Amino acid sequence: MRRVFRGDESGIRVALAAREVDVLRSVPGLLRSVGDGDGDPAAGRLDYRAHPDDPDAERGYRDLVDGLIEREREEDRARFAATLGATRLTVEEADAWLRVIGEARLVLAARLGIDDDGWGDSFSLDEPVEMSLLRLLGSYQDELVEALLGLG
Amino acid sequence: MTGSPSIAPDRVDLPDTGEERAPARPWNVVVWNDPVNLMSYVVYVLRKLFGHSVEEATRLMLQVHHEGRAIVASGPLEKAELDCHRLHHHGLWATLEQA
Repeated sequence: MRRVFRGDESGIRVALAAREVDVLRSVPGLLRSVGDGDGDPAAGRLDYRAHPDDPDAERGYRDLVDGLIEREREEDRARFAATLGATRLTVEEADAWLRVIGEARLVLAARLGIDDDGWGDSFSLDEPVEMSLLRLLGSYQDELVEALLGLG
Repeated sequence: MTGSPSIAPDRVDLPDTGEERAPARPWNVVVWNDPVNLMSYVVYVLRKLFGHSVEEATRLMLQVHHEGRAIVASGPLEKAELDCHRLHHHGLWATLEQA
């Protein structure tokens, strides 16, 4: 079976075909679109709370991490976009890829209304393109994890 | 330093509040199940963020998957909040609760 990501002594080797890179180029735009429309379910999925039942404690948490997750997401996306098409990734770059791909999967799943386990067990040829992208990104993320774990 | 009369009291009596000073209870970092994040990715994140062995990270991931939640770390509030934030940054659904 063809592998896209492999770990070696100096990082991750990447063997994405040009058409696969083109597919991944859609990911930053997908993430930028979160919250554009009213009631986008993806916006809620990415809005995390540490103290969901305690507004006062939640305010303290927000003060502590004020704007941090937004800055970190921007850094991850910039790193992902800058290395799309590269044939090697450092561990830090691969980690950014993992987070960006994972975030894109959460966005797609939220918009597809996936809220229960077992959604991936069935397959249909006429499934939405978003579902196909969700599966593809999952295979990339799984391979990338395996490649990173192989380094240690 | 000698020669000056001391103005410090010999003893300070603190008001009796009737409360015993208990050690602060730690905060648990709880990861919740979601149907999207891959099992392999969750194991990777738990190992990377908390230094768990592969066996422990896998046990916690399976607990999340089967029971809906697992406590992955504990500590003082500020540390627990930073741990929670790092999980959020990695796309995992995490909250805090006092032990």
